[in-house]
Amino acid sequence: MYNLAINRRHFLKGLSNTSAALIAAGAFSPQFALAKTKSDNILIWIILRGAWDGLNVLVPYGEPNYYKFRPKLAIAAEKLHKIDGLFGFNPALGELHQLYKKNELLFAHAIASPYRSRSHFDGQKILENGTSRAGIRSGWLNRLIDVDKNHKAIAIEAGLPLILQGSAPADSWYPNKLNEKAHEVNLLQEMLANSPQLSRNLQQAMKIENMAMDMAIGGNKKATKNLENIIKQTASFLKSHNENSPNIAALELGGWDTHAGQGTINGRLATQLNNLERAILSLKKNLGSKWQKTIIIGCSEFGRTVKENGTSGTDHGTGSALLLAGGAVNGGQIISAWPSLKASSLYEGRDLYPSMDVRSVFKAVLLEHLQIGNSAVAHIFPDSDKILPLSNIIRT
Amino acid sequence: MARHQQATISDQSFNERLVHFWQNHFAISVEKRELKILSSAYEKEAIRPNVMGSFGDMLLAVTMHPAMLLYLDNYKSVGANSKLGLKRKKGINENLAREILELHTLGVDNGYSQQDIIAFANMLTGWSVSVKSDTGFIFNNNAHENEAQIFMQQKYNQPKMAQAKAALFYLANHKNTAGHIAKKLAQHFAGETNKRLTKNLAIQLEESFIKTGGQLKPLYQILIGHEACWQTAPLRFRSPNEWVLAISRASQNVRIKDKALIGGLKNMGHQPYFSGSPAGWPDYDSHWNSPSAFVQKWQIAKQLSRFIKTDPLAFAKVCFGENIDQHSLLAMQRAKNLRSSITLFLLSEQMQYR
Repeated sequence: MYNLAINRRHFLKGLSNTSAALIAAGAFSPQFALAKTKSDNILIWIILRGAWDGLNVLVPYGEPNYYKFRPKLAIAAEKLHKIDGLFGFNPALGELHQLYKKNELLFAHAIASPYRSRSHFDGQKILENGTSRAGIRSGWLNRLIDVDKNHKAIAIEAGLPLILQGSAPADSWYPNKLNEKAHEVNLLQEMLANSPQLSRNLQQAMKIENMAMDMAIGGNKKATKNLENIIKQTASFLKSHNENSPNIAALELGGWDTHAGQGTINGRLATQLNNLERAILSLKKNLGSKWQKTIIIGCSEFGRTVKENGTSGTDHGTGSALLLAGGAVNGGQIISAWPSLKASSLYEGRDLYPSMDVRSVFKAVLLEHLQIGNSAVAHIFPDSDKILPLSNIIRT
Repeated sequence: MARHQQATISDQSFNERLVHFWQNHFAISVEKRELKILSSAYEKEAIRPNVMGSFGDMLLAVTMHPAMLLYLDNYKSVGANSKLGLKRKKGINENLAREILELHTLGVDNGYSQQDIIAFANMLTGWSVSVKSDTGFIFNNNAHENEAQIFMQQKYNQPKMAQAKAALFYLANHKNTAGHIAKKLAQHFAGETNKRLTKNLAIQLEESFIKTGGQLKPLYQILIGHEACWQTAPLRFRSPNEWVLAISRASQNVRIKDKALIGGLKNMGHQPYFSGSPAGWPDYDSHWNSPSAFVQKWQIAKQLSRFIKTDPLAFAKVCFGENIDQHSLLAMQRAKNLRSSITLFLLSEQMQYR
């Protein structure tokens, strides 16, 4: 049922949209997009830095090979929130499963950016700059606010992430309470996560120092408060009636790089998923009626290996899952040209085959949700004529 | 600090590592005040010239050096039946003899008895220090126990200095010494990541040591060529001294002020010549790799970040080229400022292990 035929329908429908785009492209110039009124529609970008393991997020339990390749890390079928004969939500995503049932959430699976190597660094650059080359130094959200002045964006980060870097001015905000040391603790945790001895040292040291990851976005109560704080503030930026307030926010959630000790229903990945779920639910709560006009994109630079490795984790892979949530999402569906987990179907013999390009989702969101013109979209995602926007994923 | 600078600018880093290894093997610790001024002379005169020579020569140079004679009290060891001993009713001090057997050569409890320590200490009487000598070393015949000694089942009846020299020669060529040195060298370079390979390395080193009579160069050739030292996984956690050196050696843009350097090493419990024991510093990862040491190192990393006046990402690339760990780069890129970025890099796994 997740065959190419169904998917082709998405693409064909998309094609009819873009043929117009291709014609208009020649006439495009930034001057067309003068500020008139601020857009009412909200886009929230959450980059899941570190490469989340899509196969253990939306689990293809209907594939016997899933269990064969992951003797330790596979999640038993009966534990999953099943949605059909092939896929089930990770048990840590119970609430998001509810959103899915309310048609406010969808997944695209076996999807990837055009990047085909395995460096986080370059992978994130390409995901954020919206091209197929790591060297491009402007982000696609920046090009968006540059060509369409109806949109304003803010980064909820200490610095300005690449996705918002470029010629258009973009704001950024981060809680002051999170001082340098706290920020460093976070980064150290991520950086050392795969060095068992050093990360143990760090954690132990933090406990001893009675800092106990207080400021870190980790699993404990104070950390929760921080995440809540950040979300609350983000929502109030987005809800503001001030004409200079943003309708686009870029957030990040790091820590997905589970080379070791990934866990199954508990453990590192489950903790991460809990955080993400909490962030999304909190956004819904704090956005109030604006939720109906919101789309959240959650995705990673790439996926992880189909086979588990020798340290109860997974290594850098290619195809992964992408999540859309919000009242404006035509949820309750899984978009996938599912490539199967047969050994012969794996990308380079090890990764989930990337049968879709993330830009087909981004383009649809820009065209249908943010009402950005075809020619502007072609400017925002250059050299991607062949990547057609998906249809049917935005509620109209 | 000259020692640090030499190891930093040297284009023979392997040689410098060996100097530090042997200095730690024949450790002196300068808590005793009079030793302070001798510590760098000791390394320069006794260790450095012999690093590419033979173990026996280094052992003799170390044992004759005033720093060692002072540190392990041999300068006041007097034969009971020597002229001085009879006159002043003084006796031997076993300290140096014991440590040579236990630490420098055979290894602890490895083929010698208390009687052997006493016999060896008697042979070493008269090995002393004097400001009147150019080298600082004198043989004081008046303090020498001028009698034949039975040491490790052999009779030593050579005159004067020749007696202890013969014993040192015997020890330097003993198979237990070969085994002891081989194990320490193998542990220092290959560590415990792959115990089987490290053991195999130690066996090869021991065989070479015995075959060549303690020639050191062949040992280094084995080290460089052996599989145990060419694993992709990191072999050793860097000691604080190695870590600071790695930082300094990384780039000409790094100029760490002496005060910060010594202060840093002191805070990390690794101030040069202050091991506090003739055994030197333990050479096991577990000694340095702990939560509290991590916190110390974090603080030092922050302080040292001040002296690295270059772009953090470029600096990281200078250190590791294409092999730079991307998890470090990611974290560095997201740091709040340049110093924080450098601090993170200094604490990365690649910088903390070798």
